[in-house]
Amino acid sequence: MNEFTIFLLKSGIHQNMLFILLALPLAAMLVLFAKEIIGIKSFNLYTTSLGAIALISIGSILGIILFLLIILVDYIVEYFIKDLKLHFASKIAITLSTISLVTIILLALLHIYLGVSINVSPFAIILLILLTENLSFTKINKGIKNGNIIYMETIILSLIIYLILDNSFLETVLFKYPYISIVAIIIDVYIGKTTSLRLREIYRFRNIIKE
Amino acid sequence: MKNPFSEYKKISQNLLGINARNKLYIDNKSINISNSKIKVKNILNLEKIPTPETLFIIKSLEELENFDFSLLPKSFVIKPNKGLGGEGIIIFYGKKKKRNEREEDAFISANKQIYSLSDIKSHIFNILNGYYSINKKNDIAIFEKRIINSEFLKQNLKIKEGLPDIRIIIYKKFPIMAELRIPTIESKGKANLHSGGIGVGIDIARGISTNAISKDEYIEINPDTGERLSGIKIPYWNNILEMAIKSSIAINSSFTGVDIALDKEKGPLVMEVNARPGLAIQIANKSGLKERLESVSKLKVKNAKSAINISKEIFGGEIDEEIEEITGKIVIGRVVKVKIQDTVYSAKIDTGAYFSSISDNIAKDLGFGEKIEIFKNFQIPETKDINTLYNLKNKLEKENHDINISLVKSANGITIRPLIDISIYFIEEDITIDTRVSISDRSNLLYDILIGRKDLKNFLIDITK
Repeated sequence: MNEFTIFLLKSGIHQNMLFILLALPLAAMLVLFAKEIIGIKSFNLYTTSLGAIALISIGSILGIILFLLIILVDYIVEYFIKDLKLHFASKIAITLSTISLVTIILLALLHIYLGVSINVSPFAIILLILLTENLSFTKINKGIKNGNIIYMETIILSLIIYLILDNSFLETVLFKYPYISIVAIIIDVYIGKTTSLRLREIYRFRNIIKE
Repeated sequence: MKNPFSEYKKISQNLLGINARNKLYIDNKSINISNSKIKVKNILNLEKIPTPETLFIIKSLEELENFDFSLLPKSFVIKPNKGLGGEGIIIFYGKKKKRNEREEDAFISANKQIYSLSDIKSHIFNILNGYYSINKKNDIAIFEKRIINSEFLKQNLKIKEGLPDIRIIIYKKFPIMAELRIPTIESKGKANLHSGGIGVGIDIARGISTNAISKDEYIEINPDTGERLSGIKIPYWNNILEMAIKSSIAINSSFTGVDIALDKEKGPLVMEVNARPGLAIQIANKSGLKERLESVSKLKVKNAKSAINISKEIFGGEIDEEIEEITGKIVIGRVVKVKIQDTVYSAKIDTGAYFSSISDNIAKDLGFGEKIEIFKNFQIPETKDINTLYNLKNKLEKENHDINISLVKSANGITIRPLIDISIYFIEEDITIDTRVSISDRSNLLYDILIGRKDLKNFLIDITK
């Protein structure tokens, strides 16, 4: 282990805490890379990283089920209240309430049939609210189809960050070379300067590129 | 093998991506103006650039509460002031008929949905609360007069609903690229490409539509109407270019996409200006924006007219224009689109024939049915002898004063055919030829119209086309 890491651990920072704080710059760099270089569309960094942290706290399987539940319930609610032409604030409230109730049923079913009892942490609840609101807002602002695409891509990005943060190999590497986190910031600067086409745009423009 | 990285670099120099658009070209000084439709309208109106008429503005919930909805005309448009990509815009076509006196007023939207007054209030409530706003802050709702599509677009596009518009990208006073945007059923009457509208590239030099795209994929015809999308000549083309340049100068923006619609009575109107114009216009024009932007970035021009001339020169239909300049002739392919009276046909170019010919069906449609009947009554002998046929032609012409007949050489030898006078309009080339054509039975042939040498004097034929 690096001397600096030992010093930090000895001065009382919890090992887990230190790892997450060191890994966060990497995660942020990755989101930036995915957005600016690959061209993945997602909600803001806050929602995306919170998604990842929630996955750590409630486990990836339940997390993904919850993610998919939100988009499904949102779709169904949208279908039923479409013709009412409600204020959007109430639309979001209705969707959130429905998701909340469906989650209760889901947890009960999991317990009855699989014998799994899950203590859903506050993270998961905050995540539900945040994702629902973001999804609804994006659908209004950028159209339903775009909203759904951005939502799905946010989930994929959250999963990738989760896989990075919940990784004991990365922990050993980061504790050995904590300076990697500073390198991530330098890479951020480079990404911020790039004016090249995103990989997704190369796919989008493939028909002209051929000619 | 090609080096993928250098290929990537080359493509990046040619095509404009979001990164380059946002970091190199977006004009941060003028973005606050472009984001607000009201500000843009006020500035453009000061410069006498026509925009759609504003009927009412609702700025707050209080104003919404006190608004007298009986002031609304039968058809109108609601827009969020700081909306993005056409979201939140609803076009209302007319009032719904009331079944009884007590029933609330209701309006019908472009996608045939019925909005009662309380539905409309709810929509305005959402706008005021900033749900459609670019910065998610409180916004203003605008009522605008609905634009009635010009006859030209109605006839050429045959769309029933929605408002097509023309997007011109202006950079440092130069028109860089242009696109005709056509609403579809899917886009609910909006011309925005990301809501499902069709984009058609426009040749800057001639104002003629080129390649059409729907969701970034090339299409030939409009799936809603079955109409061909290429070869449409945009009316007022120079006015439109000039108006777009003047708008960008008025809002003091170096890089902007100006949207212009054609009103039945008022002609071209500036709908809005966009600081972040979409990038699919490059696909529709089969050309990269970055390359074009770079090529004018160091040029300076005095006025809009000289900017238009330079843009036409460097961005206009490439090879064809060059040959036109050398020979003064227009290059056409083996098949051209022509218009006779009001109908569009595909015509085959045949340099083997002298006279152009049209099928008897078309001739009948054009009102020459009587002449065809007279001609059919003639006794024409089964002969290939020129002298006999020539004498017959003279004899028939003497007997019937209003019929012209010609000897026509065809693959089967020589025959005689009636001639009629018509004018043929070459759509893509924008040339009308008044000429005399022969009528023949073309029922077994692929094309109803054949263009012969007599009418091809002003053209060069590119057999690869």
